[in-house]
Formats: sequence, C-alpha cells, structure tokens
Amino acid sequence: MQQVKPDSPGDPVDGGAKTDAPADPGPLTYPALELQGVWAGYNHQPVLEDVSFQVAQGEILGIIGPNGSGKSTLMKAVLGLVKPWQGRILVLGQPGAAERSRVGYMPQVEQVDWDFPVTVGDVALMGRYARRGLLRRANRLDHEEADAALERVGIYELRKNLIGDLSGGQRRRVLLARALVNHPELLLLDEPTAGMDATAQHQLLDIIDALRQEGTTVVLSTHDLSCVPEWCEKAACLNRRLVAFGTPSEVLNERVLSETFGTHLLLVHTDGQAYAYQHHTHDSDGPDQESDQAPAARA
Amino acid sequence: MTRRQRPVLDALTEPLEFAFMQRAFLAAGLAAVVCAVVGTFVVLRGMAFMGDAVAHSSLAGMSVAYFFGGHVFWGALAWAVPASMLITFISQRANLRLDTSIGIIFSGGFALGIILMSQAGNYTADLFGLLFGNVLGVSWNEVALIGGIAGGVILVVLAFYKELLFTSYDATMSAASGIPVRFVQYLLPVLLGVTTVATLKVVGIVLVLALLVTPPATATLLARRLPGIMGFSIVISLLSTVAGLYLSYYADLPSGPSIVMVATGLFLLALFFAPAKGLVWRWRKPSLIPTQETAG
Repeated sequence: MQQVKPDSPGDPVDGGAKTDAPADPGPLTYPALELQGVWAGYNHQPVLEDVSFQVAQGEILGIIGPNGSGKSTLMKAVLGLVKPWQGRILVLGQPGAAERSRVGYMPQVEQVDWDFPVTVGDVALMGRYARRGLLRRANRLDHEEADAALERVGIYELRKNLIGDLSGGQRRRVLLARALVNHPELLLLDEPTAGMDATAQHQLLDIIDALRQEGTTVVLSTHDLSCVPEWCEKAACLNRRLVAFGTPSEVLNERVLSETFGTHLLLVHTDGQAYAYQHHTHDSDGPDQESDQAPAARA
Repeated sequence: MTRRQRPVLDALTEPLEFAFMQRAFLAAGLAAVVCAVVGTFVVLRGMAFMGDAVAHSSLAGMSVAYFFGGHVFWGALAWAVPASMLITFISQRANLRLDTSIGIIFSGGFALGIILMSQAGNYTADLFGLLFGNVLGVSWNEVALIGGIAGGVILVVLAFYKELLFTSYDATMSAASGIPVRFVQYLLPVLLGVTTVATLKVVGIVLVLALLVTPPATATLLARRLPGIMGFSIVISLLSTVAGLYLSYYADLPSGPSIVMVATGLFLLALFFAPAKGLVWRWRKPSLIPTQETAG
C-alpha cells in the first residue's frame, strides 16, 4: 500500500483541535476517550498520578514512557480492569467499562500463553464470546466476523494452525485480529511494535491507516519514539504523571523526553534526526551500555 | 477348541457376571468420564494440586460424616465445595501464592480428618478404604450418586464451555471483553471439588490426582485442539478404568492402584510413541529438529 499521510505532525489545525474536541461539529460530539484526573495503582502504590487528557474520535494517540511508567495500567484502567482510585474515565462518552464491545484491546505478546491448545481461528473467535452471552454458542455471524478479521490482518490462511506454531509477527497479528473482530470504535494497542522489524511495522501501519480512515480511534503505547511522529496525531509522554500531551512536534523535544525518561535520556542530533539514547537504570554508565536507541524526531 | 471358541470374549465377560463388578465398572466409568472432562481444564490451567488438596482435605468432611454415622459421600461433598472456593478466595484476597493456600487447606483438612477417624471405632481399616478407595464395594446407591455428579458436571461444562475456554486461555483479555471472569474463576474449583468427590470411591483420596491429570496429559500428546484433547482424554480414561479393573480381577490386585497403573502405562506409551510428539520419533528423525542452518 502507498504511504498516505493525511496530516503532517506539525499541522497547526491539528494542534488546535485537541483543546476543543468536545465542540467538534460532527454528528458524535463526545471525545473517544477522556481521562479526568485519574489516579490508579496497585497495593497502595500509585502508578498513574492525576492523568487527564482527551482523544478526539478518529485520532491516533501514541503513549510514550519508560518501563513501569503506567502505560499498561492506563490501558487496563480504560478497559475497566483496574479501578481508578480517583477521577473519571469516559470511554466513547460513557463512564467506565459500559462500552466494552465497542473497545478493542491488543495485549503485549508476552502476556499470552502461546502453548495453549487453540488455533488462530479459535483465538479470533474468542473476541466474539462476550457478545454472545452466557449459555450461547458462537453463531455463523461470529465465525464470519472472525474470518474477516483474520483476513484483514493477513493471516486467514493460518486459521487452522495452533498459535504455538506461529512466528512472533504472526502472533501479534492474531491478537490484533481478536481486537478487531467487533469493529471497535476505540482500539487500544499495548506495545504493538515491540520486537518488530521494519517490514512488519509497515504492515501494521497500513492496517492502522485503514482503520483511521474508517474513523477508528487508536491509542497505542510504545518504546519506539520513531514511530510516534510517523503514525500518531497526538503524543502523550507518561511517567506516572502526564509529562506532556500534544502533537508529536510539540511534545518530542529534549526537555519533555528527558523528564519522561528521567535523567538517563540524552538526545543526539545527527543527519537531521534526533536520536534518543536511553540508559536502563540498572546498567552502568559506560557508553557501550547505552541501549534503546531510536530515532526520536526529525530536527 | 470347539467347546471354548472365544476364550478372550469369555475372559472379558466373566467378571461381568458378578453384580459387584458391574457396579464397579459403571462407577469407575462414570468417574473416568467426568475426571477426563474436568481434568483437561485442570491440566491446561495448572490446577493439578488444587484437585489433590481438595481430595485430601475432604477426609475431614468424610470423617465428620463417618463419626456421626452419616454417609461419607455427603460429608466429602459438603467439605470439597467450600474447600475449593476457600483455596481460590485465600489466594486472591490474602495475597498468598496459590500453592501456599493449597498447602494450608490440604494439610489442615487432612490432619483434622485423621484426628476424627482416630476417635472412631474401626480406625485403620476404614481409613484405608477412604485413602485408597474401594470401587469393588460400591453400592447401587453410590453408582447413582456418581452418575448424578458426572451428568451435572458435564452439563455445566458444556453450558459454560466458551467462558471456561477463554478464561483458561487468557483471563485478562476475557475480563476486558466482558466475560464474567470472577464467576468462572470460582466455577472451575467447584466443579473440581465435586468431581473429586465422585472419584473418591473409585481410586481413593491419595490417587484421585492420577485420574484428574494422567489421561488429559496423555491426550495433550495425541491431539492438537482443546475439543480433541478432551475427547482423547475421555477415551483414555475409560480405557484405563476398564483395563485396570480387569487387571485387578485377574491378577488379584487392588482396584484403584491397578487403574492408576494402566493410566500411567498409557501415558508412557504416548510419551514415547505419540504420532507427532512422541520422543522416539524425535530421536529417530534428527532432521526434524531445527539445526543452526534451518533455524538461523
């Protein structure tokens, strides 16, 4: 597919849209996702501290932050799996987990048991189970929707394979197919590009582009700073609290990134690109220990 | 040769002439089927020792019933269901690991049962029967109870099959999509507890685990998808109990351990000779193991 970029990250119209999203004159006047002063955590340990932002319908938001910064917790709070201590989460204009069937979620690939004896087709079909309700079996429509979702992510021909036989990229596609099987209006992708090569990333980008054109709102978390200006209209820098929120060009600067990733991050400008070097906190400070190198933003 | 044309058939039908053997075959067969169905989930979710703990701690309930002259069956049932729920509750609420809460219920219930039994009359003989089962002494009444439990458990599994499948595979995702995960997380231990009780009379407290785990484990070596694993598990479990009872009859061996030995033997056969996953084929065809060239 061709790389269509309907709006560049620095588009001024885009920057203005974020503040008055509720006043959007479209037929649906609520934001796809709205967090109002959300605090959440585990065992009295806060992981999200007073996080507020809005995502307009059809926007793609990239959430950037180091490990343990609350990216996954934020997604789980949106899904209703983690109850906020304080604050409100409005999903498609509704509070809490009321709109589950309109939200798709793709977990991190490491969180799934890949030895479980189910096929690719079984996993896609599971996305339809809750919709069917107790005591009812999946019907013909469910099977058709599961097949269509597998087709969409390009693994329909693998539908009879066991999930354990899949490659890393194919595993991610199964999870994506399951997230897409209900035609979600809001799609949450937890680390969709982790460990992906460039080809696989572009295939995923094509799918996300197509979803955007259908009006789907996408929220994705990532370590990979390079994909944010390329993919997303909005970026959120999270490190328990929301460090910055705006268009990628507003957000991806040295001050914000250093604050998000802590003092270990430094930006190096070469060849018109800014590279972010992130030290793992447990690493020594030797230059050969630097890791997570990623092109951050075009300077 | 003309008189006894079919010695094998005669050997198979001879035990069935006795009513106690008929009851034993029925009771063991019913327990085998329900163990295979529930055991498939037990193996996939790694709940084997929860089943073992429920069985062992059920001795407490059986002893109370025995002590007061009731039927040990109802005592076990009254104990097993709350015990299985308690294990789940403790591990979820008290921030203890599941194996820790299993250990507490396992040993606590078992100790209480032994103390109660020691205060009753025929301590050693009756305790032996509870620990190792006595399927040859099963009554028609008990066969009916085991049948009722087996039928009920299988109906519940069929009714909630898709929820059990999804939650077993990926509890987080199933919760996110709106499956009542909390309900399923308690449903399976309750089914497990009830199944355990149905099996106690057949192989006894100590060996319940074998019927829950061994046939489904064998089946995972033979089938790919969950329905196939469950089907193979039922067949293997039935084969083990029937063959075990014949072995017990002809070799004059205790029935429960005979059943378990046949099940274990079938597992070893599958481990080495299963069509796709057998160890023997892997040894004989080293080309199937990815070398550095093919894997790189």
